[in-house]
Amino acid sequence: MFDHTHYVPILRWKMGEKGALRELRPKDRAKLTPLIEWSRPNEVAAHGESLATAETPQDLARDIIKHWGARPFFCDVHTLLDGHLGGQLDALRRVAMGLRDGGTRPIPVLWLDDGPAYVSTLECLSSGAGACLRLREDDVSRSGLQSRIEGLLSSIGVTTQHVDLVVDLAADVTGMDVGVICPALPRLGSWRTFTVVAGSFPPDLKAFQGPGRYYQPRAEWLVWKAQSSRRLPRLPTFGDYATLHPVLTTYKPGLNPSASIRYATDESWMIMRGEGLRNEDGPGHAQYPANAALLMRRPEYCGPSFSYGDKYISEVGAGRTGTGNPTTWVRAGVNHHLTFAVRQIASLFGAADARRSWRVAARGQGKRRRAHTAPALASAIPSPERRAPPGVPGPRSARATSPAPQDRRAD
Amino acid sequence: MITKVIRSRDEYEAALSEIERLVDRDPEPDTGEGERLDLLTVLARDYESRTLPSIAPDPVEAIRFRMEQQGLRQRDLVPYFGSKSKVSEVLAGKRPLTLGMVRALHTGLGIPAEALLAQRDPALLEPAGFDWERFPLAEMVSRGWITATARDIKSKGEELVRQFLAPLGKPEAALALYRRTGYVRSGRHIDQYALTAWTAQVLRRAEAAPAPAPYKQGTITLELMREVARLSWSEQGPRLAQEFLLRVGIPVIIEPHIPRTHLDGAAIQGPSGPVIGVTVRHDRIDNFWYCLMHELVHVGKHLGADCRRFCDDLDAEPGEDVREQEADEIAGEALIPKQEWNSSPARSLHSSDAVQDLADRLRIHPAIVAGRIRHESRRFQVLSGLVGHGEVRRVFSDIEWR
Repeated sequence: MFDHTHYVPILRWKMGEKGALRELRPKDRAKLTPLIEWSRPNEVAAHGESLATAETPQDLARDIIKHWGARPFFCDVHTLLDGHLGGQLDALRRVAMGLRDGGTRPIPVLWLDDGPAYVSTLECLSSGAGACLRLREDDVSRSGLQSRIEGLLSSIGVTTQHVDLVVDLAADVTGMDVGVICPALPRLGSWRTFTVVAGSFPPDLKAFQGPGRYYQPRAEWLVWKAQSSRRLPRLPTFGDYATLHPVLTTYKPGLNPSASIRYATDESWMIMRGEGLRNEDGPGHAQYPANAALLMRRPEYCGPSFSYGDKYISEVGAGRTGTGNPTTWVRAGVNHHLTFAVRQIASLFGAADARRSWRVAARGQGKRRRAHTAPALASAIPSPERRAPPGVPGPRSARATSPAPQDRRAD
Repeated sequence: MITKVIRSRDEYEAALSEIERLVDRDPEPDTGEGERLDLLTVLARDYESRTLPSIAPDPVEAIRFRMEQQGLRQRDLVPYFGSKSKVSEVLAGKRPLTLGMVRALHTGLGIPAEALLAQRDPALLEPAGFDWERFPLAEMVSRGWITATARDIKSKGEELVRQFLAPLGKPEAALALYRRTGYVRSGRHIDQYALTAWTAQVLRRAEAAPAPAPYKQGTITLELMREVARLSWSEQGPRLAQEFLLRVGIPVIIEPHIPRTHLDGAAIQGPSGPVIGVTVRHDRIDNFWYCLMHELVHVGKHLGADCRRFCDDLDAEPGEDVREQEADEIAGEALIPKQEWNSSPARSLHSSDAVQDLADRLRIHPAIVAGRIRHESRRFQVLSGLVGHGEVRRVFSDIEWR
């Protein structure tokens, strides 16, 4: 299905993320497979109602076709369930059948502790597409992992050759040591695909005090990149949580989100932080165009032709469209991130077409631009160019892991 | 260090000096310096209430003081006066307060009724004659403006003052001249004698180091002002501006603020041409450049036979005076043109990147942009690290700052 040159972002099925997927360019879209988590609408979470009240299965299917199309995706509905399955299985079955009948191509995500009732309910989702087994960090070190997996897979009648294995380390980026993970996984070579995912974006921007430009290292990328040149039994596909924290924070009434832009760069996210949108006497939404204009003048900016997100930045920054709101800026930020990660991975493995797709507009001037590295990054996260993490040998070769500056020209 | 009830004039003066120094530093309220400032203010007010009834604020001053405290503008007072024109007239001293206004101001703004009912002290506002004892002679001696012993001050004080004021002509005439043909922008009581002494000192220093060429009317244009503003880019910008302006016939004299004048700067018509005095009362880069530009506008457009001195406390609103309004507007335009401001991220994003971006574009010091943001948004707590606190006096290290 795919190999280590692919990309697996974990995304919630929310407005901003949906838009980010919808606006991907076909060539980039083909290089990624999202793992979609359904987050329950807040009112459902608040009142403990069943998931059946959220959306009709037909609506859900139409929504997926609209934003992602008929391409395969990993479909994780665990978050829709309210702890106990009782009373929700029927609704879950209706959702599963609605997705299947609606023309989508979901690959159902199983967790190691899923019971037979849940698994059989989701079985109809599969329709020969196999399944995805999502292991948490604790699962990897559990005793009897192999027998548990075998039991789970036999209950739905599939073998590892039809199963995509996703090891989700969530926020524990330091655990992303593939050299440790690989030996713990049974039949590593036989899984249809093998992905390791982690996410280092903080839960919120409180650590960045006041309006300004900040950098947060993309630790999972740096760790994965450092390991991609090692001799491993199987090189995993890279996955992350894009510009969001792995743990979904529930909506709190009265929140005062900041007017900020999250922008992926080679080794870090550049965060153009504004102040709270609801601050009394504050500039409110007008900060978005200001932040966008400043971002466009940064050497890290990839140019308007790089992605939908970059185009949006240039439109808002130039005052050609409205200021946007938190949702539209999640859309732009995640869209840029997904595009950036896809091309970064492709560039890492040196495919000629990947190099071409990496080329970005340099605002029509074709001028050289320096890849930016956050000053704090060198000490925060080891990279192969600096020093290897503890227990991990350094890179064997000095092959370029980032696109050469002169390659980053306009298409 | 004063830590108890103030009982003497000396202690009071010392407290005032320390208050002014602390106000310049703009400390946070919950810090040691902030608490010290609060304490000194209480002690100084207590002393004033016991011993200085004669300089209690007149009604207009009391209203202006409360406006400054609460950040009120003239339009905010309309509910207490009834109309905008009445507000203007009262604040200009052209209309007395009615009983209804007194009641409304007392109830609504908490201004003491006795202050609102007080009579204006004509001697303080309009010195009619020459009373040499009212000059701050001790202060003038301590600053080295005049050389005298305590005995000299007592025995030949009048002679010392007359000698010192010689550049202004006869003291009586000078006081009367500046009273008639001068304009003071201030929200507070100004000690006219202290102000006259400061003016004389500025002129004395200008005469001692005259410009190489006389000032020519029409020299100051918006373009010249922008050229001066671009000198702010250098750390030595204030000195470079001084040298630049001296070459076009305008001495810029840096003379520290003297107590009870609350002055940022002045434009003065001296015997040999226009002179600008700057106190660097607020030791901030943004303040220095704004003040310099403001006074340049006065020199270029307003100084003349009918107005020979503009003294500016730029914390005060320009009021109804069109010359002050014009000086504010052109100074702002010279530093940051309106068109650039309106299209800049700095207008709506209070970050150092936004500040630097506009500063780079205009080739001016970032502190000027930070100051503009604070002024326009009326948020004086933001970007305080970027306005260049303590960076102007350092340039003039040859001056004894107190």
